Amino acid sequence: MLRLIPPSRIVAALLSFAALAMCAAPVSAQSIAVSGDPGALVVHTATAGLEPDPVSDATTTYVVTTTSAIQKIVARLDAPLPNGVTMTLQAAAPAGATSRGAVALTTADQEIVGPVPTPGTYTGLAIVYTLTATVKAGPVPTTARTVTLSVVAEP
Amino acid sequence: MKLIRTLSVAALVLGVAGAASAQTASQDVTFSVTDVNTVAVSADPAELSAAAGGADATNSATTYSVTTNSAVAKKITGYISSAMPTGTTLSVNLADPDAAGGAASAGAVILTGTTSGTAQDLVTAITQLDATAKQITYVVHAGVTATAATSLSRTVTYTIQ
Repeated sequence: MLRLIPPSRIVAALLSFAALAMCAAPVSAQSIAVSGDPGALVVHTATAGLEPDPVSDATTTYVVTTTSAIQKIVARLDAPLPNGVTMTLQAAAPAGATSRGAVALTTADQEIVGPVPTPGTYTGLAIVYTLTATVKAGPVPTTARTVTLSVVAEP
Repeated sequence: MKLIRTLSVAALVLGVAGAASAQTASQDVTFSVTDVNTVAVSADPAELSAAAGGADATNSATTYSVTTNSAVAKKITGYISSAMPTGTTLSVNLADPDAAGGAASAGAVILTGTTSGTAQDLVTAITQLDATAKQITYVVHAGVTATAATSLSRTVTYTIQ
């Protein structure tokens, strides 16, 4: 038996679909991407009497799209650093947001940029990595860590 | 009614799928730390003048600083640019850089080596240390056989190795 659906219900269904899609779209648009990997960080000098000189890399950037004013950026390492070695990440903030400065990275998420008040897409934001090693760290062979940056909603 | 449910579910699925995409980015950071060893001195000492057969001339006004991250023991050696005149000696004493630590000063060493190959040990057993402003003591001794001379100079070269 053929049952016809009233046009009013079809319209209601389409409106429901559109409303859900509109609600979902802003969430799906939030994103973050980086320009590439930074150059190798090699600690190789020291002023006599002091700890070895830190080295930095500022060759990479990121682009972020936020969709609400409660979204911030966090970063973490995939594995701990050797003893005596510290890696900081300083990310430039989108307009109106606050960079947390040079943040020492760990395997837990660290906030590097506070909530971005105005949703939008922000490009060409500088990333600066700095590696510091104490004398107690000793020589460290070439090693790699993956740094993951995420856009998350502030709790 | 079934159509409505189908469309609603489709929208929900689209929303969920979108929310899971591109919220993270990653970078591979490569790093290393090389063997770092440096030594430096604060300045040149003032002129040391000793009378033949008289009291020694001493200067303790300058210092040295050292950094090494090596776990393998390093030492500081020293040599002079040319031999001292007959009847005279120049000795140097580098203070222990870590006091009660593992490094050890050789005390007052009369410098005789005049090349890097004949450099003499002044501080030994230095590991993973940064020490600043440690005293250097120079002593010039002139024996009775020393002949009078003025404005002589010698360059003392320190090396951590």
